Amino acid sequence: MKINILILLLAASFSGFGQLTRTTVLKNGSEIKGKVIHSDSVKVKIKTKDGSNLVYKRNEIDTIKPVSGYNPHKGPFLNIEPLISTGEQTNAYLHLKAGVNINRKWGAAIGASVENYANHSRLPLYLELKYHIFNHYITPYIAIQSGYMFPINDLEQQKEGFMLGGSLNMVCYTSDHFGITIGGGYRFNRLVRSPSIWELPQDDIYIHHINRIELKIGLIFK
Amino acid sequence: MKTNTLLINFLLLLIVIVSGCKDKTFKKHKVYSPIYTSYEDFRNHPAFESPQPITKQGNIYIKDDYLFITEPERGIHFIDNSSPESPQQVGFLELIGCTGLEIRGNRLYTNSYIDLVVFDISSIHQPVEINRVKNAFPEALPMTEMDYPISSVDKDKGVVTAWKLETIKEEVEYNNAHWLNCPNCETMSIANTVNSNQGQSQGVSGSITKFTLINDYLYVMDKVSLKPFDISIPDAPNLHDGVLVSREVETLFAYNDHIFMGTTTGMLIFNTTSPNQPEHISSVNHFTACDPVVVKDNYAYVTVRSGTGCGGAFNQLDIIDISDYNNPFIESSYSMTNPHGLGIDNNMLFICDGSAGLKVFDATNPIEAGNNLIHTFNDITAVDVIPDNEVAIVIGENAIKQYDYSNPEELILLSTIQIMQ
Repeated sequence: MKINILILLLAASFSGFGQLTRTTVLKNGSEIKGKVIHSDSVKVKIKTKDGSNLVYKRNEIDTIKPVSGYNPHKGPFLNIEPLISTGEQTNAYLHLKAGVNINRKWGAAIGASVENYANHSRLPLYLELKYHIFNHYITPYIAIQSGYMFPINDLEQQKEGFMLGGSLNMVCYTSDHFGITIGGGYRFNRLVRSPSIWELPQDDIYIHHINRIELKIGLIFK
Repeated sequence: MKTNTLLINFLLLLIVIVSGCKDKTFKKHKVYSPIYTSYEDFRNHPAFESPQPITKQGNIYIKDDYLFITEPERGIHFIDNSSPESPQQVGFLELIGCTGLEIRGNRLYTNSYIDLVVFDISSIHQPVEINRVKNAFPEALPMTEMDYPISSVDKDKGVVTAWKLETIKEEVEYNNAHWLNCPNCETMSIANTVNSNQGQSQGVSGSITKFTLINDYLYVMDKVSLKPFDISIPDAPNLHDGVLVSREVETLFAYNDHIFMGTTTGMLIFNTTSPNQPEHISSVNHFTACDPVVVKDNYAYVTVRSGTGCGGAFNQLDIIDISDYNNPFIESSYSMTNPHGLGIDNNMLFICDGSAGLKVFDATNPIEAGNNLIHTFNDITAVDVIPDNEVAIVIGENAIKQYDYSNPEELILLSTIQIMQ
């Protein structure tokens, strides 16, 4: 079921669930901003921001180019990011992030998930900072994450947790509202637990250092 | 070609990174770290000092008119008990790591952590160290107050004479974080003395002891090894190879050339036909508990106690028929509150029943002894007792009390020595 939903989302983003806004430059010098909703060797159909559909012959068009000064990243976004976490254990998790790209380069998000370590569940709640290398529809970006791993079960034993990670990713916007991300990185978790009733003495503390490589692919909704 | 090489290198790097992603588990815990005393300082001749307050409950031992009380790890209190109504402290033999003693003639044998030490007590006011069997108990360690593990010991640094409680962090195997706990190491390793009806001019010990004398041999329980010392030359004990005992031995009691061991899982009987190599001949098992043992005629009396350090869930008196040492069996059992040491004399069985006090039973019919309670003394949390010559010396948590039991129907409190904790 989860896989089906993911496929549908991917298909939606690729199929032009809205196209990218472009500047179409005609040979007579005029420029039209709008989404190119159809294009073939004979004609190009453009939908403008006010909802009008304009059709031009191909030989009337000089170039179709990105909108000057347009920042594809800017604004709030929601990121759904399935990932494979591998190391001594391998697990698949789904991370949800909500954030905002504040300018051409920088963005920030709050993320959460439910993860499992040695049969104990944790809820990582973290802040992610993003730096986009290019101001383009397709660009690599660097992300760093830091946050707290809240215990969910066995609260008697499971104590504080800490996470710190970094990744190198690529984002590709297929429309003004949808994009795909792909990337990989490293994450360190420090999880603390107290002994089980079988372990003596009871005032000992166990500290687990969890090292994981993460491979992820995700969807961005703007 | 170049692309393939890059790809292979990338994959190799990825494998290295992933394989390097080992998880680690650290344990932050308290341990007892050893505090060492140099061998030279440790073996300085101990001092005999003026009487000092008794601050800790230890083992009791009587010889002739004198009462000896070991104060665990500090030394031995010498008390003139010629008049049980008014015992007089004579002095205090300061001996680090001492937990038990045995006396034969005018030689006092005791332990000082790793050494067996021999004192000449010809003059009770001036005991003199005359010999020392060095490293006789190499595993002996000071007691620990709490249930924390001990860190490793480097014997090259000296003798461990104290512990320092520290918090450390060290890497452990996940799901394998089990530790050797060593609460009360010393009391588990060496205790005191035991009765023997054999031989001459030797004293009588309480039942909670790990020293005993049979003829020309002193036996000391050192953790899992019963160590025989040939004392035919009293001033020069000769240590023979220990006999491995695969149980947790708590007490020894010598009777009729046999050693009766109280262990956490039952009573063992060893014969001493070959005195330097005692042989295990039989045992009576019970659930995990602490169990001092005393013997009279054809019966062994064993108190089985549960609780901290003992485990188990039973508190009872077992009376064991030992008419055939090779085939002992439990004849009868009686429920108790929290029984510790015990003693028997003139068909009177004394049981230190912890907070329930000292209980005195008529053991004329041994099998029925548990049904024949004569008297209970609730004014002491009794731990161990020596009934001898119509005076019962009882050591409890806060005091040492002596009772006259010449009239079984009316035991009379003779004196009290306070333990100043």
